[in-house]
Amino acid sequence: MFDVFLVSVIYWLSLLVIFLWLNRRLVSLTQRLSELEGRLGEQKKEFEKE
Amino acid sequence: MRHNVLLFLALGLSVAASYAAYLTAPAVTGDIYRILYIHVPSAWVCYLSFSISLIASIFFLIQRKDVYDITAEISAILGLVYGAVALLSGSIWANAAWGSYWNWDPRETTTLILWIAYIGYISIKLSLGDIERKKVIGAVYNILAFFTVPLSYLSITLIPTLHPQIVSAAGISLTMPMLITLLVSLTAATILFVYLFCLASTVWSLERRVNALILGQEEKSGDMEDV
Repeated sequence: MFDVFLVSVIYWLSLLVIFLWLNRRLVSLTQRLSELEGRLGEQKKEFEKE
Repeated sequence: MRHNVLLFLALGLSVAASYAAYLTAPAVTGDIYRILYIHVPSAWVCYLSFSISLIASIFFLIQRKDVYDITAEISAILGLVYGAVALLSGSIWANAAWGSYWNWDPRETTTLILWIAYIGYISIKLSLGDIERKKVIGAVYNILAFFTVPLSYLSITLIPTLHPQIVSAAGISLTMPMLITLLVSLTAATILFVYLFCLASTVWSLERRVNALILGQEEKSGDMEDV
């Protein structure tokens, strides 16, 4: 029974690691994108004022 | 996110398959046969992802679109993870069934060759400096590396082996409840792979957008400095 448990742990743990890594990357990229787009919007406004 | 439907579906099916695996009592081999419900789906998804990787690489060489290159790369990385799980679960099963973790059985050996071949692909993608050259060499290598997939799959029919054969000319060597449980496990693993693939593709497209914005801003600031 231990062998079956061990295989299950290996399977789910490896998928969980990929899932968490991708999700962390997704969150950080979404934040970075909104920052960049916000900065771009401000630059456009400044340009229009000038 | 709309992909979450896939995640919940895969998790639901995995729970159902685990419960069915618990209910279908082992006859001769004992508990150890339950490894089958993880080992076979992992190996199947590994072959599937390398096949997707091959198709994407062929399309990349024909059309030279980045989307095919990244599809090949994502599929290969996911295939490597599933391949590692298949190798590890197979060796744990081999230890219980044959008395040793590694026996240099044709299936074990050819699957290890397959796994190492795709490690080579990822190494190429990570090591070469020239981006365009890296994509083309990677795609050509990927097509060559795919020959290890049929080699691994057919090894149990072409070479005498200890590895059990579920599907053979004589028919399917599983009882109906075991077969249904295995099919549910296969479906769950495939859906989970599709979900992870979609998630990885979303991350990649966001990365591209962020890089394009950073590049655009750098060019703008460069222009302003010139002025």
